[in-house]
Amino acid sequence: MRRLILLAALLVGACGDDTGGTTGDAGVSDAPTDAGPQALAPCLDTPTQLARPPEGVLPCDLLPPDFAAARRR
Amino acid sequence: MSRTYLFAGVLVAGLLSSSIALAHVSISSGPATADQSQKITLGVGHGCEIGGEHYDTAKVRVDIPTGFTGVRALFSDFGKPTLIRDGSTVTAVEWAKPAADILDGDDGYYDLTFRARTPNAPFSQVVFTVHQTCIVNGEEVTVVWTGTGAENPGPVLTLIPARTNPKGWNKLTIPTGVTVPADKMGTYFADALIVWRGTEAFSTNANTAALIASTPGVTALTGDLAAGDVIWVRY
Repeated sequence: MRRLILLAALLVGACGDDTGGTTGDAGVSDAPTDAGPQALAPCLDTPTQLARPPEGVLPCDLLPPDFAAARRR
Repeated sequence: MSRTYLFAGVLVAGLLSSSIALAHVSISSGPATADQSQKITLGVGHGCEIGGEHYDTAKVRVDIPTGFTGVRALFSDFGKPTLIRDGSTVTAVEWAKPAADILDGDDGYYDLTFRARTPNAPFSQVVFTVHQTCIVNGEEVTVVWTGTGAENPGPVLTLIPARTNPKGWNKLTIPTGVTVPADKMGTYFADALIVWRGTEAFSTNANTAALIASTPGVTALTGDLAAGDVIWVRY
């Protein structure tokens, strides 16, 4: 009987309050309302975060599949 | 000067002035894939300019060049199409506007579309001959857009090779008897991200072209593509 009571208590604890917002996830709902520059923002507002090729060198996705062989020839 | 000659003179002047019209009849559907059945659209940007007056287009006929098969015309807001045949071969398509629909001025833009299988001639351009007719004082006046001259050039359709991978890498071999001139690379690969032949690369994108120039081991592809050349194209 004591085991059953303990199990019930554990279940209630596991399924009960999930609205506390203190789980540690970095979800949007957890972002502070007055967040500074670190807050999530659309690309239009954060152009420096866009993926860019290394300066002065073609990015790998613009090199053809046989580029290595072509260089050896 | 009799009124007849005066009218003829106006017509001649009109034809001359229409030959320096503001815009041409053009291909508004963009490049077409060689050896595929697809829609081709003519854009009629202006009517006729006769003696300083502007007139709405009343009729358009496009001659179908040799090599185009399976021609079918789409109905248009402009008017009903008619296929002109020589035996079983469609030699022209004509769209005629009902007289009641002709506008008082040259205010209309018209897209006229037909579907056809294009010739198996990638890396080539086909010039269409288009007859544009307006009604001037009750008489039909026709301007012929044809050839590649500066006066009344016909619309040019660019034929590009078929793509096995529309959004990725395509390996192509330049067909026998075909040369892609260096000055036409931008025409045939206008929407390609990059084109490679060995370690030579070409791009119409200025930023990518700059990276080509500055990447070690890579040189700019500036020469003609010859028959048998193997190229990689990234779309």
